[in-house]
This record gives sequence, structure tokens and C-alpha cells, in this order.
Amino acid sequence: MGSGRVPRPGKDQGGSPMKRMLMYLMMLLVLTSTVSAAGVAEQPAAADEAVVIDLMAKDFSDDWTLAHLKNIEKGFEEATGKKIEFNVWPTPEGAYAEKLNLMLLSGQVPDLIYFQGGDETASQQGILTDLRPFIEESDVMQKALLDFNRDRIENYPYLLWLAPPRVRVAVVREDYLAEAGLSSVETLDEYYQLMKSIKAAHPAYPVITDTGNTARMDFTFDHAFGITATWVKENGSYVYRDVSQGAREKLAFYQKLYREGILDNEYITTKWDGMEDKLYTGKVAMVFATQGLVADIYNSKIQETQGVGLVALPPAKGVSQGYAVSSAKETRGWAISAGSDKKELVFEVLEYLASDEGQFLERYGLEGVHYVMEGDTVVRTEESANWWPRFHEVVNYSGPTPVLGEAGTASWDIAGRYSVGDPDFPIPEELSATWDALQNLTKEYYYRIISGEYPISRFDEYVQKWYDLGGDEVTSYANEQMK
Amino acid sequence: MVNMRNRGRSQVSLPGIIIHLVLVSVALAMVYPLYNQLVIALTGSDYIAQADGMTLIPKGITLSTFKAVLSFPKVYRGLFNTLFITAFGLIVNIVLTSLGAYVLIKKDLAGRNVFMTLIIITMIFEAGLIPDYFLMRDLGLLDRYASVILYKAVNPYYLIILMRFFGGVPKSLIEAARIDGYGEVRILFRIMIPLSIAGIATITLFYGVFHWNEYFRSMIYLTSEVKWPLQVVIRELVVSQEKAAFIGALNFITSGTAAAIEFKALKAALIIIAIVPILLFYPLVLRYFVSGKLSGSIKE
Amino acid sequence: MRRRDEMHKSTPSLKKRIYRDRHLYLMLFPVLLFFLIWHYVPMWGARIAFQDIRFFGENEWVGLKHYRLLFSSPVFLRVFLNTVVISTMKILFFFPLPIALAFLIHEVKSHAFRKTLQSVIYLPHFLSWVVIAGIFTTLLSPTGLVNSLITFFGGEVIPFMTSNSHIRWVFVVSEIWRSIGWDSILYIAAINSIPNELYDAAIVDGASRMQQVFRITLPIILPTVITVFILNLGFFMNAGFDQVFNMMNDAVINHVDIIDTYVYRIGLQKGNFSLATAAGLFKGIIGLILILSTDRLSRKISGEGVW
Repeated sequence: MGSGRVPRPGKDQGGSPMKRMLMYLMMLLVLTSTVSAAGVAEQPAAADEAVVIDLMAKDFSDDWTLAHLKNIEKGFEEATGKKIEFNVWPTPEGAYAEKLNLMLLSGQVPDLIYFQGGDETASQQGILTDLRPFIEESDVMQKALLDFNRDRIENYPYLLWLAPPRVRVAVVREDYLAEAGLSSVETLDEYYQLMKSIKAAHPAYPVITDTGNTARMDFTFDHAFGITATWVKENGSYVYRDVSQGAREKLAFYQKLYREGILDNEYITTKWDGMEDKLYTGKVAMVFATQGLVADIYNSKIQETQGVGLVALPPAKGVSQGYAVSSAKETRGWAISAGSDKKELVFEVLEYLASDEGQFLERYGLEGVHYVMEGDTVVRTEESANWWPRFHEVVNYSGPTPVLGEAGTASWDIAGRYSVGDPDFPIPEELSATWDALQNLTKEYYYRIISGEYPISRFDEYVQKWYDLGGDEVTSYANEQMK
Repeated sequence: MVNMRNRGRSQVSLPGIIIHLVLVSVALAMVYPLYNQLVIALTGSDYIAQADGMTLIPKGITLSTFKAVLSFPKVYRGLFNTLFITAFGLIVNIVLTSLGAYVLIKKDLAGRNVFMTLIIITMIFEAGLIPDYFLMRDLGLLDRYASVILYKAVNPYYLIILMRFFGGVPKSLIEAARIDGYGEVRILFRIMIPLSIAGIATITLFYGVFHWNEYFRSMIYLTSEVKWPLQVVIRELVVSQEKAAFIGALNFITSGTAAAIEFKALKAALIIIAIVPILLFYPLVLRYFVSGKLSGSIKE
Repeated sequence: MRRRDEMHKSTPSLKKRIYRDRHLYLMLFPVLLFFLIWHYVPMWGARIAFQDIRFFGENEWVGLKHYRLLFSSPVFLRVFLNTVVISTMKILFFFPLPIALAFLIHEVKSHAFRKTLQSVIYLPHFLSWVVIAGIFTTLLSPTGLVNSLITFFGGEVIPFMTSNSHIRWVFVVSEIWRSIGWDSILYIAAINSIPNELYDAAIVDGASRMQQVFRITLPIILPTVITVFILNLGFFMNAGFDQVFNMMNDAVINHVDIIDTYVYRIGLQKGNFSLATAAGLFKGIIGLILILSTDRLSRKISGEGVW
């Protein structure tokens, strides 16, 4: 390969065309950095008197929510004479925690913030307002708060979350229930008999399933085995529920269910949509649903696909009966920024939303879409199944028409009746790595015992390992806290 | 680019058959899941609950899911944004990466090792979300398309790949051009790039896909929803698990459609929509996977 | 025998070289500027790995506190090992396959078939791991397709997704399925850019197909292969967060927990960015050492490095 002769370009010597090129390049870079699409969402100019409330929440930017916020603004003005305007900082779920943290770090703190985890750092550094003084003054709040709400606020007064405690209530297909000749079950034994007979009648499929672990079914079965709280008292001191004596018996029970094909053998790899799929295609008879709206959704879906409804069942009664509701702190909720110049106003809005007028808007949604007025009566539309309250779901509220469907109301009642307090505390940062290791150990052993790979006798081995791995450290910390 | 080295061989041979079989099975394994998603997206609402991974033919075939998704303004805006970002992004990417690769393949460039090491370091070490965010803020680029276009203007990995392709061009050609008095930029654009067109095509594809899949950073840097790219719009639905929030607007106008659009079908339709443009774009790039035209310059 | 001042002339002085290449430096300038602004300036922000973040006021320097939290966990060693094992398995069993596929595709005579192949093999790459995890879980479940085949041929059901001895292989195989096509694109492009003249000359010389592959194709794309290999070593400690996160379950968590999933649980979920940054630096240093050392090794052996 010799020196190839390339045709000469002409007079160009390399200086000017290159400089021109570079200039174009620079221009291009400058251009791209100043291009911005038309229609950048400008902050709407505040009306003359309306006070702007900056609000940051997850997925608040769809049309329904925006219309709902307008309704709230109107209703609030009618109730209090004050004009407000919500200014939503749009944030998609996928990056909510990160975005929120970034906002806070860069000094942009909205007035009203929805937290779903990650609030400890914020509260520790004094960014969030202590809500207790406001709550004490408010009659509406006093009426709306349940005992466990009060406990949680005492422990951690920065988040307000008026909603029923999220427990999972057992719901079973009404046809299978009827087949077994029952209208409900209560004791642990009755539960077992029911599940056995369903299995006998429909051997091809499991009876119950869960999602990745047994957290859902635990709600129904924990108390029956004496697991009445996160930390249970054994021999005078507190023991973590996973390593308690009750846990051993519960695991033996689950192991039996798994072996007999009652518990879905693939529960460990099932996700929430897989669980729902199984329910709607008749591959499972009983699931554990969040009470209220979710139960209603499951009910209407299964009506569509299988032509039957769901019946809610109380928690299993054994040593005890109930659903433990942790009072450590709210895991999510609304906070008011400490730096806000309109704290009282923002709280007033929250208060309004907990009042009857506010709850009407929250629970019923948008007129014409989720309900229609026939004369003076409120009639809900089909669409109402797709609506949920954006701020509060006050348990004590009773609207003009039932807010929930049959399954929803039944599960709601059960949840309300059987929920009991569970004194608990958040794990401190120093112990978080240890705690994570303990969780992982538990996950592995629990699954292997339930699936029968390990005999139940290896539970003791697990408990020993648990304590060795740092469990005794946490336990002594717990006993200090719970004094 | 016909494979000339097979001239004169018999058509059928055992190794050939095996190879073909293997490739066909590979191709099928690759295509099937997407085909399955397409089937689900076309399944009518009455049959959707029963549709699963083994469903081969859509029952109650309907275009309503696709229609519903495509008629939603958010999706269109997302599509426009992604195209916009991709177009401008590609210009910046190709120009900068070409410039960099062209300069850095010169082995006796003073400081070359230092530059390369520094660049590779950036490939491995990321400062993290927070410092990046503050940088964008200080540059005044928050909520501007430029932030998403520029934050990865040059990908060191792709830069090095392009350097490999550029390195395949005979140095004698470049040297000769220099001697003849060509300017460096002219050499780059008139000689280097045309002779390594496969390399340019490759990194164009890579950068293009990168922009197309852009998701996390754009959620962080772009606060105005009107600017969110397609992937963000799509994930907002699938991840948040609440179709009502997404469909909500649609039904504000026409009720009853929500019931007809099942979540499963919706997810499938969105997956298909996200892939179709790439399916269309890729064959265009494929055309350039050829050896660069040497046009008689390497005869001797 | 060359005279001394002639030898001097063959390597110009530094100043002379810089002046000679001044246009090149100008061309390189925007690229360097980019890296400087968008990468090196924020790097200063990575110091939060050694700080506690404060919303108001200055961050507090806490030295190695986060590293202590990271390394002190009883499971850190296991998590570290998992990461190394999974990455190594992927290098050994996944890395060569896209290359092999590129060669296979190149062997296809039919233009149409080859084009079709190339147009579909990359598709799985665009499915998110959420979707792929679902696919594989269904496929490999005790009642799924694979186990049906196994039992049909008289074998015993294998619980792939919950078995410690199989789960890592599931990761490798699913990675293969997802990326073999996409990763082969680069090699296909490299193979295609080999001028036909080279093959023509070889055929004239009587070379067989195998010889053509080993004497022409392979050596020419070898530098590309080495480059890709070494560059990917920089990401050795990553091991694929998305994949692991979506495919892991309680049964196998201790076997597949990698650094990133661990950090996600105890750090990111709580908003502890410092911890995540510290872990990132740690991974990065290892990756950098791997790249630089294999690069040096490669240069010694074959004269070719990453660049």
C-alpha cells in the first residue's frame, strides 16, 4: 500500500474551513442549550387574594386529581371564606423519593408534602412541623383520629395520615364457602377445615396464595398463634415475633398447608398482579386483601370474570384474635414544612378535608364522573370504582350513600373491629445493617421450612443463628425502648 | 455485501444446516415474547383475563387498546419529546464523539494517555444524582431539554468503540491527506467518517437507543410534565399500578372506555408502542454496516 | 548508522508536538470541556460519601462512617462475594456468546435471512427486567414449560427460581437471552467492515473457510473484543441491579444479593445518599483497578490495549 493520491480539494489549507467548523459547533452547542419547547408550564399567576399552597405529592398531576383540587379550593372557600390555590409540583412515582430529597436539599421546600418513606432524615433535621399543637386545637381532628393514630402521632408528630390501618383481611369466594356449607369461619380449626374441604372439592389448584412471603396471611393467622405484636412478651422480656414460640407453631402450620397443596407452592415468586390473576381465573379461592376499596375492586373484578363475589372473614381465633397495628410511626403521610409561612392555613385545609364536607369530596370524587345527583340522592357510577381519596380516608365518616360496596364494607368492619395496638419503635440507623441481615436470614429459613425443605426442628437452629447474627443486640435495645 | 468468500461452495452442508437451525431457534426465542405481548395487546376485553404467556392467537381481536393509548395526549407529547431529544442529542453525540475519537487515535499526541485515563475514569465513577442535579441548576438548565441532551453528550464507551473503527482506516491515507494540505476537520469528515461508516452507524444506534430509553434523569431534570419523554409517561402508568390515574383524563370525556381497557392489555400495548420506532429505525442503520468504500485508493 | 541529530529529529520535542497538533487540540477541546463540566465538576460533590447530609447549613464531615456501616454488616462479605461470582459467571459464560453469534450470522449466505435475523435478535434487549423476570418465572416455574419438558423425559421437577444451586444460572441464561443479540451488533459491524479484498486475496491463495475465519476475521476483530472486554471490567462490581432486583425472591436472597441491592435496601430506600455514594466509590475503585491492570497486561501480551 503505497501513498495513495487523493484528489486535491483546491486552495484549502486547513485553517479557515476548520475554524468555521468549530464556530458552527460552538453555535450548535449554544443553540441546544438554549432551546426550550414552547409551552413550558409557567406557574399560574396567583389570583388577587388566593393564597398559593405549594404541594408535592406522588402522581398528583392527572386530570381527575386536578379537578378534585379545584373542587377542594371551592369548598374550602365556601366553608371558611378563604381563597386558596394549589400549586402542584409534579412528580412521577418512579423518582418520587429521590426528587423529594433533591428538592429539600436544594432548599425548595413545598408547604404541604406527602411522604412515603424517607421522612426520618427530614424530621431529624427540623424541616417538618410538629403537628400536635394544631391537632389538639382541632375538634374535627379529634373526632377523626383513631387510637392508633394518636399513638403514632405521640411517637412521631410529623406525619398525618388519616386512614384505616392497612390490614389484610381474608376474602374467600362465596361459592366455595357455600359449597362447604358455611357462611363464615372463625377459629383456627374452622379455617383449616374450610381450606381442606375446598382443596378436596378442587384438588387441581391451591386454596390460598400470598405475594413473595407470608406477610398477608400473617395478618389473619398471627394472633391465633400468640403473635400479638411485633415484640411479644415471653418469660418476662420482649422477643421479636419472628423468633418467638408462636412463630415456630405458625411455621409448622404453614408447612402443613404447603405440603397439602393448600398454600400455593409458588407463592414465593408471585407478585401482586400474579395473585390477582390467579383469583380472577379461578386458580385460587382465598386471598388476603387490604380492607375497604381494594376488597371492593377485587370483588367487582371477580364478579366480572367468575360470576361470584367475595366474602370477608374475621382473623383466625386461637390463642388470641386480632390484627396487630403498629404504633411506631406512620409509614406515610402528610407533613407541613417547618419553613412554611402559611402553616396554620395549610393545617386548616387538612382539617377541612377531614370534615364532613371535605370527606364528601374525598370519598365521592367528581360529580358527573364518579357520581350523579338524582334529585337529592347521590348515585354512584361504575367509574367510582376507579376513584380513591387523595388526602384522608376518615374511618368515622358516613356519607349519604354507602361509600363502599358489600365486600368493602364487610372487610372494613372486620378490620375496625379486630385491630389492636402494637407498641413498636423504629430501628435506629446504627442497627440497620444488622437488621437487614436478620431479615435476610429470616426470609431464607422461613421459606425453606414452609416449603418443607427444612424440617420444623431446624427452627431452633434459625433462632440461634438469629441471635448470634446480632439479634441479641437488637433485642436488648428493644427491651430498653419498651420499658 | 454479499459474502464473496463462499463462491464456488456447495449450497447445502451439514454444518450449514446446523447453523441455520440454531439461528432460527435463536431468532424465534427472541421474537416470541414480543409477539406474545402483541397478541395480548390485541385481545378483546372479554378474553383478556385468560390471556397469558402461551396465548398465540388474540381472541376477540380489537384495536381499541391501541387506539385508546394513542389518542391520549400525554403519549403524543411524550413521543414528541423523545424524538426531539433524540434528534438533537444525536447531533451533539456524533459530532463530539467523532471529534474526540479522531484526535485521540493519534498515538503520538502529547498527553494522549492522560486524556484517555481521565475519560475512562468518568466512565466508572459517577458523582451521583445530587451533585449532578446541583450542576444543572447552577448552569440554569433545569427543566430545559438541554439538560437531558447534554448530560451524556459523550459516552466514553462509545468513544473508544469509535476509536477502534477509526483505527481501522489505513494511517497512510490520513498522512497522505495531511501532506496534501487537508485540514484536520476536512480529513475527519471527508475521509475518516466515510471509511468507517459502520462505526458511525453503530454508535448512532447506541446513542439513539440510549436517548430512546431515557427515563430516570429526565424525571429528575425536567419538572414540567409537558416535557417528559415517552418512557416516563409509559412507566408512570405501569409502575404506579393505577390505570385510573392514567385513563382518568380520557374518561373525563368519554365514559365507559375504562372498562373496555384492561390493565394487562394496556401494559402490553405500551410495550409494543415503545419498541415499534426502534424496529423501524434499526434497518435503516443496518444498511450502513458495510465496509467503507475505499474507492481505489489502496491499489498498490 | 544514523547521526545523532537525525535520531533527535524523529521524536520532536514536546513543544513542537503541541504546536504541530494544535488544530487537533482545538478539535478535542469541546469534548474535554464536556467531561470537565459534566463529570469532573460534580465529582467534587461525591465527597458526600464522607459526610452526613444536612438540609440546613453545611454538611458534616464524618470520615469513614458510611464505609464502616457498609463494611461492618455481617453480610457484606457475602454480598461482595455474590457480586464477584455472578459477574465472573457472566464473563465466562455470557461474554463469548455474542461474538459467536456474530460469526454464525456472518456465515449465513442468504441475504434476506441474514437481514431478518439481524432485525430481530436485538429485540429482547428492549424489554425491561420487570417483564423478563415475569417471563422467566413463568417459564421456569414447577408447572412451567421447562419443567414440563423435564418431567416428560422422566426427570424430576427443578424449582429453578427458588433453588440456590440453579438461580445464578438462571441469571446467566436470562442475561444471554436478553443481550446476546444486542451485544452482537457491535461485532457484526466490526466483521462487516473488513474489506472484501482481504478475503479475495485469501481465496486466491487457497484458504479454506475455517482458515479465513481464523486468519482474517478473528485477528481483525480481536482488538474490538479486547476493548469491550476490558471496558466491561470497569463495571465488574455492578452485576446487574435491575435483573437481580426483579428476579430475586426470599428463597434465594442470600445467594444473589449483590452490593447494589444491599445498598438499595439499607441506603437508598431511606434516602441515605451518602451511603450509596460511598458504595459507588468503592465499586468504582475496584473497576478502575481492573481496567488499568488488564489493560497493562493486554499491552504486554498483544500490544493492544483499550485504546
